[in-house]
Amino acid sequence: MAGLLSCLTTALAGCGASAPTATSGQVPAASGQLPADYRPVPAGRSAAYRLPAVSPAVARRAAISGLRCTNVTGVSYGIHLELYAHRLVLPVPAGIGVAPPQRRAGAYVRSGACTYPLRTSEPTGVVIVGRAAVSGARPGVPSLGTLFAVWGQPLSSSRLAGFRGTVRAFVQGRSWRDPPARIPLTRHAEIVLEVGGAVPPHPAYLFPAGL
Amino acid sequence: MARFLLAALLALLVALSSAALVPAAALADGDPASDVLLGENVFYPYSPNTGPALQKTLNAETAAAKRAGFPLKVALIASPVDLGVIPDLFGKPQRYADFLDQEISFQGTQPLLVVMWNGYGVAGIGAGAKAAVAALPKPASKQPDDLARAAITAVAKLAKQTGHPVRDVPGVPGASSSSNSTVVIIAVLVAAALATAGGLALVTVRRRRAGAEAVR
Repeated sequence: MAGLLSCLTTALAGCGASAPTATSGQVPAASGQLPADYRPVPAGRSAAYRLPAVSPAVARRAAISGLRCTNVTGVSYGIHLELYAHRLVLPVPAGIGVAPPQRRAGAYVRSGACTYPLRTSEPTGVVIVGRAAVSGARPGVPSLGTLFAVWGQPLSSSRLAGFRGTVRAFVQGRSWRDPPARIPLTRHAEIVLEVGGAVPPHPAYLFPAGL
Repeated sequence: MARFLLAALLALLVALSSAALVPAAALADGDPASDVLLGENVFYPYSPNTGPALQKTLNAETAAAKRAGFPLKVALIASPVDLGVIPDLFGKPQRYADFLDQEISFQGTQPLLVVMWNGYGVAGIGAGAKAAVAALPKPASKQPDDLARAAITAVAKLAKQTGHPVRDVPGVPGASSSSNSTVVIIAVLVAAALATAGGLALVTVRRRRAGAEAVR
């Protein structure tokens, strides 16, 4: 019973197992083996997993959900977005919210004809939230739905880009019960969306300087 | 009431114990290199920027290795920020190589090199190549330029060790350059041809003079 009670107090941490998080703790020093809780997930390889960055509205440089395409590139902060479909990574491309012609450098999009205050410059899931998104014509914290509107991809409780099914959402590792489009893009938010299978979500992301 | 509470507590314990038997939280994707390396050969650290000349050399070297049949991917990790959701793997290049390998290897084997300040991690290559890289000196510092310099040497070593030596890449130590070799060979052949022609001309002139003197 004492053991069970002890387990009860630590169950959420793995009942005695080391459960390092993204921001604390050290990896157990087992040689030659990855820790049990570091389980990589590969990216999907089919066409459904290769989403275009530029939507028709961005290509036209049209206003989207109150956001305009401008040459103002001020950065307010970053958020990190991870997408999974059928337990495979659905990559978030570089160049979302950057109107063509885009200037690329390898995997990175450096600039474009104009940019929206919600955009990506690298294919890592890091989303730049520009100053205009939080203090522009519609001041406040933008939502994930607005980002997907800029991207031109569907997002609802039953649809994630081209994938249909129940969409599970997590913010900072915690389950989000409301429609995923309502998730606020607050500073350093770690957002995980999943459809077609569960992947335990990350609680945090270490952002580069300047974001 | 006490029995009810005890039953509820036991039910809760069983539920939590069952949950605890489920594998602990999987940390997957979320490291920037895995995303960048889907389309690129090299992942460079966020900051400070790696010198453009070093980037050019390393990009050219990995491209040449790929052309030679050795499609090596390289991740330079200068700080925990370069690892995104798994900063705990900073300073553990082989652990991260094992992790990254599972993310970017699909049906086939994907040769991979990870460079951190304290050494190298490799995946998808043979034991001989692993030993060759392990014998290399560690990068001079954590700075991205030093990681890139170490990577340039390591890639050349790995490519050679696996039977795909890198050629024609300026700035790569020990990489033979076929175009330079060709120039040298041509120069030697021209010099030899000139020497032969000169010798023949000399012999011909001497023979003619000797013939003319004999006639006199």
